[in-house]
Amino acid sequence: MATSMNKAFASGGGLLVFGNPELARKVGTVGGPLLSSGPMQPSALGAAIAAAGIHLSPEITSLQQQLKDNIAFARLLLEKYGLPVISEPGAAIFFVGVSLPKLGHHIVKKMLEAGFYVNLGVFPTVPMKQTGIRFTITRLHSFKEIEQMISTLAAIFPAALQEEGITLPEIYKAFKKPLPEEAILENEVTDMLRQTLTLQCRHYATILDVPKEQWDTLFFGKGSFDWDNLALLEQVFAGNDQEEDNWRFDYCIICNREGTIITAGFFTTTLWKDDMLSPAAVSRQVENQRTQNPYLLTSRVLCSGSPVTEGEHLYINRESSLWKAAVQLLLQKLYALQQEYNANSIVLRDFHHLEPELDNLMVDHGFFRIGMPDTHALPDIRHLEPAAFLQQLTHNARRQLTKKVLRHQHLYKTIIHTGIPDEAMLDHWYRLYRNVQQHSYELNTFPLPKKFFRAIAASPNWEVLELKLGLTEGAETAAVVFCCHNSDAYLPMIIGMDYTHNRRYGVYRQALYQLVLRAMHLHKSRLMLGFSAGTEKQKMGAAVTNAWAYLHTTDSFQMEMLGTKPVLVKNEP
Amino acid sequence: MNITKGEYTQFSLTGRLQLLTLYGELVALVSSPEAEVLIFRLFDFFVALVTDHSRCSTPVAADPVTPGLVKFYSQDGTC
Repeated sequence: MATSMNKAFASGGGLLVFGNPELARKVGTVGGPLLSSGPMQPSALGAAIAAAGIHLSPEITSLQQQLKDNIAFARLLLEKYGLPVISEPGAAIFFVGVSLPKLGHHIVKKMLEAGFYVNLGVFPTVPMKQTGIRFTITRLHSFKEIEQMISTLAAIFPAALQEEGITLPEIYKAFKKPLPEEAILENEVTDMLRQTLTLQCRHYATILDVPKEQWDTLFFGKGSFDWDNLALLEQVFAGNDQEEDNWRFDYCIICNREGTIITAGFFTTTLWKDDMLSPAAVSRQVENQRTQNPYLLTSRVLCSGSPVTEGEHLYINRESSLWKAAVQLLLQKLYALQQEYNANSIVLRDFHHLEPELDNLMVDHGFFRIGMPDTHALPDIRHLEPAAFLQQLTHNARRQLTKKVLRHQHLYKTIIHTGIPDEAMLDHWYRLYRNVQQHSYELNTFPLPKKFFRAIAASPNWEVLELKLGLTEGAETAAVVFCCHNSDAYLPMIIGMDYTHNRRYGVYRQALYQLVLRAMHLHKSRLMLGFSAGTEKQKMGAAVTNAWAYLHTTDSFQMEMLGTKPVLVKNEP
Repeated sequence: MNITKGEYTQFSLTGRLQLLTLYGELVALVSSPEAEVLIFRLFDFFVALVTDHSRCSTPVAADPVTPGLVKFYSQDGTC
């Protein structure tokens, strides 16, 4: 047995206990090195010997009994005061749950002001939403001291809860503990009061129940998720064979008493690959393992937006004084949905600017900020002609475009398709999409079903830009881009490509250029080019926007597993 | 704050003495040459603390007692 002398022995170092002297001798002579740092300091050694002496004398029993009494008394007081004790009974270390770090910091500060120093068990030692007040009872504490400390904590606790806008049931929920009966009653009353007096959360399970004009006004120009597109997505991603093709949609609108919308957004709960936002090298390794088990390292995720929409999915009216309360109410609704759908994580994505106030609010509510791939857009192209577009590029970008795109332009023919495509054509386009999807490790997703492509090709809000390369008689489709065009922006959402001639004839660059021309032709104010392939898009004059997501997870095991995979791999194909 | 009789009995003698010091109210005292019995009201029950004179008045027991016994010990018969 190997044990530490830092805790109960109150000294330092460690010790090994053997069943017989021969085993001790064997370990000492032929075992591995037994020194890992340095020799014990004489004072610690003296204390350890004295502690060992006590442990070998009958005195230890009464000392242990006194400590046991102190622990029992502290436990009793915590229960009497109704504090949410998370630690198991019997241990000298107590943990009173507070859920979010902000409440923990608040309480520790107040306790310090009252003359009591308590620790904070906080992330990464514990999960983000399982912060707690940690304190240790020793034999030397008197009952009076213990009572003073716990009664002070009990007095500070409810006031701090109120100030931070956290309720006792939320704490129990964060720790997955059942709620005491009296707290259930209190919670119902508090919730009713809060909702009646300030904000109201309207929740819809389908866009068909959301007023169309209201939704489209709110999200005009924000991305490819207007009312019609969402109705289309709901139809496509239901009743499918594959689990990953069935999405659950939720719409939340938070209003004040006058009915003004403060926060709104739509959310989908889908099966995600856990490495979706991991470095490409990590995804490549995981995909190798997925050939045996396609659902390896996948989780159900509740996410703002959907896997096929892009843009600012969360509307926050920052001019309202209630915006923070509204976001908090939205988060509460999301926590409830997460629990209902048994989703591992909540991801709020596509935040384009880092706003300190919002950032603090999210972190305080147990979210991590993670970087997403940069997003790219060409702003202000409405009044440009191709020649003017070329002129506004930097010298280097113009040179690249002339040399690598315009030189081959005569070889390409661009066709715009609208309406229902024939099945053979759709099959071919789908194959081209899978070509790209299978190589897109930077944003590793499940493949979309063909049904989706059939639906968007037929939708009046979408069009398909097909790029044919006429090297031989009977030009072949080199690229196909599915574009959404129902707002002031032109949004090429999905691309399919034949890579055969890409290197020589710059198929991808040509497709980008044709998209620019198409957006200008339609007099769109912006061309939103989305994630990945940043260098190529910047050469086309696209502005780069950093994108952020906030992640809240109940179980970080899978992510930790991904973290163990090396990012740099030798002999990558 | 309230501690029940059941909870009180979970403590050792040292713990019980601390509880009596903190929350107890002395209601009766009976002395003999060998021992002394101090009756305390502790929340909603009574405790008899017995000290042994032969061992320098060392407390030897602090167990809950019934109200009947308290009446018996108290001089005026009330508790």
